[in-house]
Amino acid sequence: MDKIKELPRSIKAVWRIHATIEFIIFVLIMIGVGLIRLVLPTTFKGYFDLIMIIIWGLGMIVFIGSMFLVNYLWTFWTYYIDERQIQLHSGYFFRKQVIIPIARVQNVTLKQGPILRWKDLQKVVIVTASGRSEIDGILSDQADQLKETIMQLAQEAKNDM
Amino acid sequence: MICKPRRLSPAAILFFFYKDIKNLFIPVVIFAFATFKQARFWTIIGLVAVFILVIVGDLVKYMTFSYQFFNREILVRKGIFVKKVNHIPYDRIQNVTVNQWFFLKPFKLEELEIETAGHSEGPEVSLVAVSVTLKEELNNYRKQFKATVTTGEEEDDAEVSNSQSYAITWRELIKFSVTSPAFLSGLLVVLAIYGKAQHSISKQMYVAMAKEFSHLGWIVVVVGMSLIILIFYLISVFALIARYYHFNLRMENNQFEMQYGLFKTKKTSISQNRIQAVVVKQTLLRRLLHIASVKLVIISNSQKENTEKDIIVMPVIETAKLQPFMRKFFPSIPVNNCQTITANVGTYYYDLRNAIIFSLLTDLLIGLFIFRISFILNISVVILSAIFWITPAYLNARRAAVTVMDDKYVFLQNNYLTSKNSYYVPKNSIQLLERRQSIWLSQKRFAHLRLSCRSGIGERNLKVKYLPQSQIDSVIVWYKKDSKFR
Repeated sequence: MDKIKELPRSIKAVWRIHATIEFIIFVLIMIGVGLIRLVLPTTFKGYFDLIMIIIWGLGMIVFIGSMFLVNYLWTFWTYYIDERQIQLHSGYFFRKQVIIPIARVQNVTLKQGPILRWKDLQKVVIVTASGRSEIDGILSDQADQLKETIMQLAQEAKNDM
Repeated sequence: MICKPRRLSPAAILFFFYKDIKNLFIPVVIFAFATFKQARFWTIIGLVAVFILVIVGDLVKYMTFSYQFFNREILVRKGIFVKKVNHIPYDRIQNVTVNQWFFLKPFKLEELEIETAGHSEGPEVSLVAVSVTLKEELNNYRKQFKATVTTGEEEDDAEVSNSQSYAITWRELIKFSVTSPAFLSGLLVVLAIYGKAQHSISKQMYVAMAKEFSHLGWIVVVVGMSLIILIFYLISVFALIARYYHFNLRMENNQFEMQYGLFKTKKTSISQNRIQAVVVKQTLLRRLLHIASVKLVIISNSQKENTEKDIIVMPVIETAKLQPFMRKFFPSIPVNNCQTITANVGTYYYDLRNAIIFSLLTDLLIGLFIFRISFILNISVVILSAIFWITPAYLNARRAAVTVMDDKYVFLQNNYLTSKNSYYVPKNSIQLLERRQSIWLSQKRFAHLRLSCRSGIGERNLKVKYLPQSQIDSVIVWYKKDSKFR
């Protein structure tokens, strides 16, 4: 397994659902905050409305933007694993490349919430002594296989902590 | 060779007591003040009750605390309702620190702290008052353990037996203390307390005082303020001298041992293979005086802020002595290989461009509020914001560097505000490498680099920005080459 891989196509749906859920939470909070208007004296109502409209607008822009960004993110999100290191690549305009040597991997966590389970995906969290890196979701059996591979390689690499 | 469970020295009760009083003092005083007027009697009763509770609690703590050395581990037992037994295998010990207050010297007592790489808050084990011979004993156990473990394996340290030592001179120590900005933070604390106190001082008194001051004139006020600052400064200088008094570094059997302090003597020993990175730090003022500090990034239980948790291996050293010092104490780091690359013009361009943008934005934001007040004020804002943004940016550009030294080490240099940090990082302590580049930077062949190391209980990011792509990529090639370094 040493060619550059993409995330499965179904992750796009997951990202969209996440964005929608975040937006719904945002809407609920904003409605809650909006109730304050009822008890405000009339002099402040103008300012309050103005601020609320700006926040609503920003929320909408973020939501619509993240819906459109899903395709962009997916297209340029790739990973690559060989017997020495894990590499994660993302972005096109702002490119980011992360290299984690297998020997530095402390543990690998597989996570699956209800949405990921529905799409039969798993999130892979690679933990090193200093922090963690995540692969947002790959097919369940692939993830298990990946975990096996990483742990096997990590055991072969000398543990010098 | 297993010894019996042992107790701390009874003097430990005093230490527990001191610690509790220190923690409780402020809340108790506030509480007492609040209730004293209403119920004098009950307040006194309450205070006595707290006092007795603390003493009883400390006695119980003392009675239930014991430690025991085994062949493979140390065992610490404590607690009365919830019994806690802590096992610490010798090979998991990161560093051992010994603190001794001057008044404990005649009693041959000291505090021993053991840190591991665990995520507990504070040292894993803290033996508050134990005999001074205990550290020696612990070292013996550790050595024996190491001997039993390593008999089968090859001993990879050939130059183990050389012992080195270095002590700082008075001149260096004084230069170091005089240039420390620590007093400023002390001053800030006092100002904050004053700000709080201002509320409680009655207004009449305040007005009376203000009148008094206006009589004396502003010169007296200025003189008074500078006197206060001077006093703070002197206190901080003295505190630093007392803290690093007779700083002595020794290296023996791959162990660093630092010993320092006037009132509280502190001895720390760290095994050399626990070191994550070596940092040479230099603030702007100290750069003018040609002195620098050497610190170690290590894994510890320390909860302190990022830069404070580094272990200071040499608080002050003249830059001329730095190279021999590094060669002596870190023979594995090829200091000579580190040819300084002069910063690229592009790096200056990007850093200064960003600084100017930020500076102009600041001007605009502040200008919106003050543009009507006075022309001079506006000009001074422009100049100040330019100094504030452009100085660090210039230094960032000038100091940013990253080079591969040899198979094992990489050299990374960056700037934080105005202090220069040079890191010598071994490949096996870099947990993760990140390269960032925007599409526009890639056309100009520039990139950013981040190395992530473990430090304290958290992450330490070493970053350089806007360096030529070729430099960054050479580090990546080096990092990928053989990460399974032995």
